[in-house]
Amino acid sequence: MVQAPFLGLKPFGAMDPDLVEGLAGPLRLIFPLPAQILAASEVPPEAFKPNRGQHLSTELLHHLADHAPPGCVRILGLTGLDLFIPILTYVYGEAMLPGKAAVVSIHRLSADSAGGIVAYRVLRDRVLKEAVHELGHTFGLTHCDDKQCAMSFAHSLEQLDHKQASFCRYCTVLLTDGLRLPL
Amino acid sequence: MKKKARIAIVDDEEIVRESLAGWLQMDGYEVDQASSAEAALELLKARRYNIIFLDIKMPGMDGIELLGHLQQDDPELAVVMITAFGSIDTAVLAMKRGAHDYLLKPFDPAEISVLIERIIGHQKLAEENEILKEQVQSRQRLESLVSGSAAMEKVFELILSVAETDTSVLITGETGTGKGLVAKAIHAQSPRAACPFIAVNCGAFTEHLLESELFGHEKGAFTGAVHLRKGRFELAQGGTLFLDEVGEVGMKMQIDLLKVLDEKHFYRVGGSQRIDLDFRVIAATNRNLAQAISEGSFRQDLFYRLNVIAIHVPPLRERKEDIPILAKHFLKRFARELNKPVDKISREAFDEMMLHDWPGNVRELENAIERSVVIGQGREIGATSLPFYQQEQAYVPQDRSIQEMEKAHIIEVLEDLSWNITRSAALLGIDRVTLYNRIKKYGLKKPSDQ
Repeated sequence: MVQAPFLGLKPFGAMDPDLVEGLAGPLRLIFPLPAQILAASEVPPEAFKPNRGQHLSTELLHHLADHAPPGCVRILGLTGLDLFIPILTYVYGEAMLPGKAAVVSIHRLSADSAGGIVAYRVLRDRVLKEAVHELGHTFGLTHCDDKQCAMSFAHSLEQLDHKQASFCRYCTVLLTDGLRLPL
Repeated sequence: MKKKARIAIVDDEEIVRESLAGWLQMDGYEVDQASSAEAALELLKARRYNIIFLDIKMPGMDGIELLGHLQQDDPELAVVMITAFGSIDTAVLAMKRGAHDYLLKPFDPAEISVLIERIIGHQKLAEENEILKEQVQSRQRLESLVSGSAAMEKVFELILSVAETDTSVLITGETGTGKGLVAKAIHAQSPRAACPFIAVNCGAFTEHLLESELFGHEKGAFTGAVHLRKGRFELAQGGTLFLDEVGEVGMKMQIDLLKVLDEKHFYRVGGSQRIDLDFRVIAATNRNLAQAISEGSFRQDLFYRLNVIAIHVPPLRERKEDIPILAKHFLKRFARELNKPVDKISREAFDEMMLHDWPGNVRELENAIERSVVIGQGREIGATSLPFYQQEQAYVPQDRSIQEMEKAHIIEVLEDLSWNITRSAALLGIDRVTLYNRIKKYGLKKPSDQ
């Protein structure tokens, strides 16, 4: 029997289960795929780069894409680790453009402007926005100039808080185009 | 949806190039990579970039040396030096040599985003500034298309019907009839209205200069081409290109023009970078192009390419009912602009205007009103302040009969045109037989026959 396509949510290491489960419903409203929470797995050791003291997000993407179960047409990794790509000091997340895998880190999303910890509600909203943004990339969407759109690039937490977890009308059309391609 | 700007990354480290390229692509930019300065120079031969991210330390030619070459070729190119901690002094040196900025690897995402947005923003502003300057220079007053005549009503209807399409338009008419205004009105009503309207007076350039004016040129393409220069084709992208006095374009340039319109792309003079064309063409001429084709001075294939829709703007003498409307319109405008308390035109002045032939058409009327407002003393423009009044008073004595005036006029025309019967008849607006009859009636003789 062919497995119906679904979106997999994959925790890396210890993640708050409420935070992961809380994503499934809102993502289902934005992307026409049922979300399934997959078993948590260990972080691949090769992702850690001692010279940076951080985890290379690109390694996590390849791991996710290589280990996606049958029917899992998009897979979103969720982690508390601090992620980076070689040219940037840090990233909130990364995705294949387009492709199967995306990853979001909550490491820097939980901070408030005074250096403390934000309320759980704020963290949940930020994670959802980042998840929508990175998954948008997997469907071929690039950054958007509309600062309210989920596809706008937030280079600060303030900007992340300002934007919505939904797409502007142009990105909605582009997502529809992306969904027409083979999943 | 994001803007499409083009960025090149020059770095010998593949992981740096790949990582930055991937991240920039997420941001919607078109990105190319070069692993050495030599490869970068090859890349730059084929394409133009908004920003170059340039590593300082590379084997072979280093970033500082490459920066020198890039600056020579295109001083407007934004080069951002990228460097690892420890070579900041070199980065500062690069800034002194014209680099736009420098970034330390790895970059802070906020810092690089803001930097790119700032550079692209400045470039966009500079480009808009160039377009605005162009528009101000070629600014024509749309309101001067004021009219109440049936002849111009047909022109307005045509403007509205062709504006929605993207087809080429050829506007014909005598000098001063407002062909440029018609072109501008078509552009203003068209879906391209938000993009530039770029006018080029083809008669104002030599063939060589017109080529550079239209196509632009690369630095060093010819003597005096010190910098890269965008041509009118490039400036008109997305908008409308107005080729005024197209009948004056030389034969070689006609071939080039046709090729561009056929193939829908072009290259700058001395350049190898293909630039796709996206503008509408409107051309205008006061020449009889059909006659020019038969004489072999204008290409028929170019004529057909330009003349998909033809609009003829009638001369002012054929729509004299427009004279009072236009005169009042210009009076109001010049009184305001010159801060003069003139608000009336005398009955006598109107009569003179209606009798005048207006060889310079609307432009001549505009100039006449401006002059009258400038020299006028009271609130009213009188006949004596009209520039043509003095000449015509001297030319047509008041105490002659109509027949005497006709005889004098025919004599003057015949003498002016060396007794060429065909041309004289055409100028007088009568056929050759009628002219022969008048010559016989008034007993006129060619000077050589006397």
